[in-house]
Amino acid sequence: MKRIIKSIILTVFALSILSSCESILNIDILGKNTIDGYFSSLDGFKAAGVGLHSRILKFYDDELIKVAELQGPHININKMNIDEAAYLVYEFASEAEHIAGHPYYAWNKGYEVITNANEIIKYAPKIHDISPNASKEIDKVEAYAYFARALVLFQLTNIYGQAYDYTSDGSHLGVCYMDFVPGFDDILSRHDVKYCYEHTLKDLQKALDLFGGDEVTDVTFANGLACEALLARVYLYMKDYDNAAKYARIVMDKVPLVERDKYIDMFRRAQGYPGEGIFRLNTYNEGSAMRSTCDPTNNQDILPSKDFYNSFEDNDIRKSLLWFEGEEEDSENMEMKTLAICKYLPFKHGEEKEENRRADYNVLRVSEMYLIHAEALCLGANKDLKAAENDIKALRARALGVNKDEIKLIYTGAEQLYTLIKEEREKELAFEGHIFFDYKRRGESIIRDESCEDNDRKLEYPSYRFAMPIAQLELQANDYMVQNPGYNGRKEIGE
Amino acid sequence: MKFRFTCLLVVLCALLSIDSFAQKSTRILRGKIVDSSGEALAGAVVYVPSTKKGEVANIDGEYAIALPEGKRVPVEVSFMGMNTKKLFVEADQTVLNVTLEDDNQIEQSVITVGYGVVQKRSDITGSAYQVNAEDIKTLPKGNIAGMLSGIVPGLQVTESDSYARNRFSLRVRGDASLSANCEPLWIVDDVPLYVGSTTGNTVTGMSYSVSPISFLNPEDIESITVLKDAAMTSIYGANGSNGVILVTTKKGSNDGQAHLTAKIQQGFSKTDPTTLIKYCNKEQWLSLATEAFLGAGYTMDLFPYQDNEHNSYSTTDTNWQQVYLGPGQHSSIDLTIRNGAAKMSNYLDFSFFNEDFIVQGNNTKRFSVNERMSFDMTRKLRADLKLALSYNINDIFSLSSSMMKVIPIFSPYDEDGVTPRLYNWYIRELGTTEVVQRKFVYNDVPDREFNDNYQYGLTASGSVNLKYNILDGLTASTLLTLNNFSSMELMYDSSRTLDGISDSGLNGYSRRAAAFTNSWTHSSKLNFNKSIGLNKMYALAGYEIHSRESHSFYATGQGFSNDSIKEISYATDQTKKGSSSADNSRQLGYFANLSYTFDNRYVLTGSYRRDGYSAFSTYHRWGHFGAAGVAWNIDKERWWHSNHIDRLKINASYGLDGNSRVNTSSSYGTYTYGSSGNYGGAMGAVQSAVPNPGLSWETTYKFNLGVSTALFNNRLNLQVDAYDNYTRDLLYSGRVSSIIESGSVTRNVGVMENKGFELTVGVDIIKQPQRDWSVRFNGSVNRNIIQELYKDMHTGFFDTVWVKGASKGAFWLSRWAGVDPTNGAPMWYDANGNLTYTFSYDNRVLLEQYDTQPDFYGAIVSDSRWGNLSLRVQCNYSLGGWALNGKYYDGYDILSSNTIVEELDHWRKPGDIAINPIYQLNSSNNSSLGSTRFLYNCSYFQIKNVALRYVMPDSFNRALKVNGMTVSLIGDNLYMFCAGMSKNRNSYKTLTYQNGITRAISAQIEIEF
Repeated sequence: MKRIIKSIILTVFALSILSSCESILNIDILGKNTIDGYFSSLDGFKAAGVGLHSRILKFYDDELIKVAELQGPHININKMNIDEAAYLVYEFASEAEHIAGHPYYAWNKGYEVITNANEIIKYAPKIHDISPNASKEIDKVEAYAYFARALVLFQLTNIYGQAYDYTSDGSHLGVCYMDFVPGFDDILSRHDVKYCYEHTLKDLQKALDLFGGDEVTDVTFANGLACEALLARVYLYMKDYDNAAKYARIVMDKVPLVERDKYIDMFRRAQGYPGEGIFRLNTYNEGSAMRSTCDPTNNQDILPSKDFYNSFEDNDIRKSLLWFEGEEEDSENMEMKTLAICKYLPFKHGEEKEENRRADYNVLRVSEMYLIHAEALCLGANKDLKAAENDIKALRARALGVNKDEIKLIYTGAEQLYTLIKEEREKELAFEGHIFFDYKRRGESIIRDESCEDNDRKLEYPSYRFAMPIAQLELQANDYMVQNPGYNGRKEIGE
Repeated sequence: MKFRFTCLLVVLCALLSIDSFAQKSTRILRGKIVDSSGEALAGAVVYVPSTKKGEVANIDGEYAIALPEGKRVPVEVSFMGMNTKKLFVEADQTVLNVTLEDDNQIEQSVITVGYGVVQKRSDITGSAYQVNAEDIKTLPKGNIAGMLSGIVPGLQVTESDSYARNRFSLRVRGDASLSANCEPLWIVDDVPLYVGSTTGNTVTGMSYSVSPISFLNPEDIESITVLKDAAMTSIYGANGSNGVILVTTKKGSNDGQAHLTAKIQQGFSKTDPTTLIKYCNKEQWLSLATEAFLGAGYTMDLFPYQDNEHNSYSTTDTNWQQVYLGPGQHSSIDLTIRNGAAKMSNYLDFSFFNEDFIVQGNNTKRFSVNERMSFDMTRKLRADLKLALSYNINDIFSLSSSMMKVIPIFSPYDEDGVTPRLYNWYIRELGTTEVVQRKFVYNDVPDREFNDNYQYGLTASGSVNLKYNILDGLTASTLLTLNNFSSMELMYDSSRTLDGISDSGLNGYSRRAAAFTNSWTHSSKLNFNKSIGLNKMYALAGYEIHSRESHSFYATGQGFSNDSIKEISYATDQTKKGSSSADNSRQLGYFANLSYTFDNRYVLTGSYRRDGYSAFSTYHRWGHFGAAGVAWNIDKERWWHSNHIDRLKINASYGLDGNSRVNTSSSYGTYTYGSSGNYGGAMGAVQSAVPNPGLSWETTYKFNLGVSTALFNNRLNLQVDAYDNYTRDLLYSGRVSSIIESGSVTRNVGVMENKGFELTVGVDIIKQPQRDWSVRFNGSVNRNIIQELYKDMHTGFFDTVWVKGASKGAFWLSRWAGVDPTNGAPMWYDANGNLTYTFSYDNRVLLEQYDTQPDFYGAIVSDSRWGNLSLRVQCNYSLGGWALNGKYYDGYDILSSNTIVEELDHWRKPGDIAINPIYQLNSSNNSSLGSTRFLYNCSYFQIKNVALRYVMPDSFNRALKVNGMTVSLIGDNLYMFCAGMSKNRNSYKTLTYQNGITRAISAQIEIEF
């Protein structure tokens, strides 16, 4: 008996010592996907493409539209409700030191898109090996990544850099372009604006190749046409009017303008109306930041200026996107009638499910192509004022609900026509994230409407403030980062 | 010294013997008194209460004493440093041999250290403090962590009540880390206790966390030892740097008798009214609101709150604190059976604890069963089994602080006085007269009445420990423990509350969640213990594997046909959602410990541990930790002669510990497939953590120097410990370029120092057989300094900042420059010290003189006894330390929320020298943003616990046929004195706890059968 017990004990000890082999620490991590482990199937790769779009949406929703619109001339704020970060942007007073402001978040939400795009590009060859028969699907996801990288690089350059032609050779500061997934020890510094534009074009061409000539089935995902539309915009910003007109024309020929009676629904009932979108961010089930910032029933932060509202003719359908009227579905605010940016406020009526109510963000839509086309033909070396006039007439006729022939544009010469184009552009693309960049590329001062809060605030061109500061947090964390001229550099605590 | 003492005893013995033999009508009782190791206790006292006579044992521990003839007589046997034994001598008994056991409270006795090893205090070289069952028996039974408040030097227990029930955060010698968890490691009977996720005390997967520590039954605890320095903690290696709390549970007895103890407690509690935040009453609020409203250029006929058919504002006067707070009560029943014989012992405890909190609608119940059994299978093999179950039911009503700030003219009920109110009717647009209906989201009364929030927690653990005695002094043991921790959460938002009412008409919202953590721990070790002549050696070597896996699930749904059906299966199909998550990790450690004592004078110790953790990448997976210590018992030196100093010991140690409590995905980098990457209704995946392959342990280098002494016949005990701890490779969640990662990244950068000292003084003021009084005092100082940071960058948190050269808790604020008497405008100093009228975060300066940490803290405990009556009084105190009062708005939102009474002291007219600026509705001067105006001192002195106990006399026990009975009356949190306390204004004690401090009075009966 004793011997048996002894041998049992010895066995237990021996086993337990064997079991303590160090390899027991090599466990499969539960509940989380390591990056390399994640990119090992086609389905996972495709889901990364979906996730990439969710990050583009966040970048637009939280940062890009606000940065562009808060610095526009026709916006007003509700001082009681607006948060400090947005207020500083409105006041043209952003500084590097403001910890949680837009200068910081626009940067890192932008790079979040680029990082996710780079992961997709990095793993595309591996997925090709795993699923050799799905090259078309893989190419499409990879094309998303190139498009996303180009779009965000272009927009970050718009936010943090001066306009393309600020220096004659484009040697002024742009942002960091990165075509790899960086590690903590990689050097990440800013490239010049020319470099950023070149790589935007390069990535767009690459995306266009990967998309091939596929027909666009879902405008809420990046697509070949979106590449062409974005090329039109980039060329316009570069003042390469021939190319701008060329690409705008390509898109205009493929997609018609949305009709007047579908116009409002294109914005406020996006779930049923694709409208004239070329690339549109799907807001399904998203508690969007733009919606809450514009919502007059829930501490509205920003609204159109009264002057801007009054500048529309009464029968201009676009005017009704600036005036909010309460719906029956919201009994508490049924009676409400007020100025508001309604492009981001989905209708409740006719849609029971909260998550289905969509007010999608039109990153690229056909009306913009008309405006690009008009501007390019008006300003370019190969002028065609008649054609430019035609583009504007098309937009205005739709807005007013009249025949194109009834529209009379009175101007003499390209310069006057250009003024009309600019006016039309402000009305058509109001609050869609263009205006600040338009003023910047045209080198125009921003002067607030009389009816705005703090209307004495203005931003005269040129100014260092046309480029946002690089956030202090980024400067501190990255030795190779340089500040935009005019802003404080690395101010340390206690100084 | 010892020799002289013995001589004295022999003489005394002789004298007393002569006296006792002179008695005639008596019988003689003889016997020998020894300690647990069988050594004779020369000088032990045998005392007969009935005759008031005592005898002292001779040099061989033998005694003889006269007893009254013919009856059963109680005797008491005592010896310094040992527990006094009370025994009965039968009428015909003539021999009584007694074995006395060490009293753990007194120096010279023993202490439990790493891996459950019991050592003599004179043999340890580090710093540890032990609390025994005796010390905590009258303390509140809700949470063991709370019991330790104040009584352990160097341990800071911070209490918060943010979820309507108290939570504790513990720090041993300050924060050892910037971003990693700073909570100490809990070890229960050699097994690490799961205390929640990396952030400490939170259970992953639950909406409301109930601390897992509250599942332990305090009645099962034999002792709690807090290990503080490297000599004590480095045996726990990678997780020892925050200190270790060792919990040892009770065991059975070997005396062949069954001991049945029953303990019943009933208590009542109430908020200490002097600790409630002083908000404005109706008149005060109205005066402020009116002033602000008129000041904004309106007239009173436009005042938003005009009486209407739904709201009778003029007649309403609600004290919201009274709405939510009320009487609480707690009760406990505890039944313990201890029995056993020579080869087997058994301990069984059943316990039930129930508490209704002062925040109405909150209840906790704990059922626990604990069984420990040990038996000798052969002469050399011993098995210990342990089974413990604790089932906890929590009915939670989570109350946020904004609920108390609702304006006093709102009523929690509709005009009928009984229906919980959901809407108010008032003018929303200032300047108009239109009265509209608004949701009353800040009324939690409907939620309390109709919503459910139940949490069920079950912990089950079972362990087997086999111990084999290989040779004399050499034992091998192996332990296997299985632990399960399960929580289930049932939440339901009723269609009668705003939470449950949906715009879409889908009313009622239900959430069902469950979380499971399973772990197993296996360790094997060899113990060696041998004395050869003057040399005493002790060694320990072994390994330990700890594996943990957690899973959590939830499902939600809305749209229920009525409130009585709450399960998700009845929810509207499209609203049903669910998710699950999981997490796992594994740790392996090898450890060794060596202790050598020469002639009880010199002690040398060394310990080593090698630890591996699965969460770190293979390059940085292993860490090495170790410590060395020396101790010198000067009083044991032959040359030592002192009439007053009975004991003097100096000890020092140096070594290093680790902290590995980081998110387990940090080193690999992850992609998350889930709702965060969803787009357009499709599931998407995004990068969630950037790979961090260099991530590794945080290492704390600890130095400790201790002096302990006993003076005047051990009447005065002093212990001083000084320490200096350096944490290197700080696990610091810091920024990298946001091009790489937008959030913070955990990295090993920076150095932080914690240094300080701890003082413990124990005085036996009166020490007589029937009367004694002792006072223990402890005080601790800790200073925290960040010595290095990544690139010496600072990290700001609005009001505090981490910056090189300052404390982790230093304030970073704009300096308040007062109120301009001419116009009431707020003024600050800018960064350069110039007066400014505009607030800017850029004007914040580092304020080292204000720190969130106290300068000096501790407790005073007095224990006194008069015969059968004893009184324990514990007072906690803390000096220094500052906090920021974030409750000022200077009128900004006075129309929509109530405010503290301090706001009555504001500027009103030119020339006023005021503390607070002009009172303005919707003012835009940013006066309420963080500045030095809001700092308040956190010094306090609190009467924490008073316990009056009465041990029933033997005659009473005999009449009831019980062996012993004790009744106690206990008061908790009786009163707090604090800096700046005032009848009419707020101070530390009113601002710290959202629901005030809970004062409790309890009665307890303890019966031994």
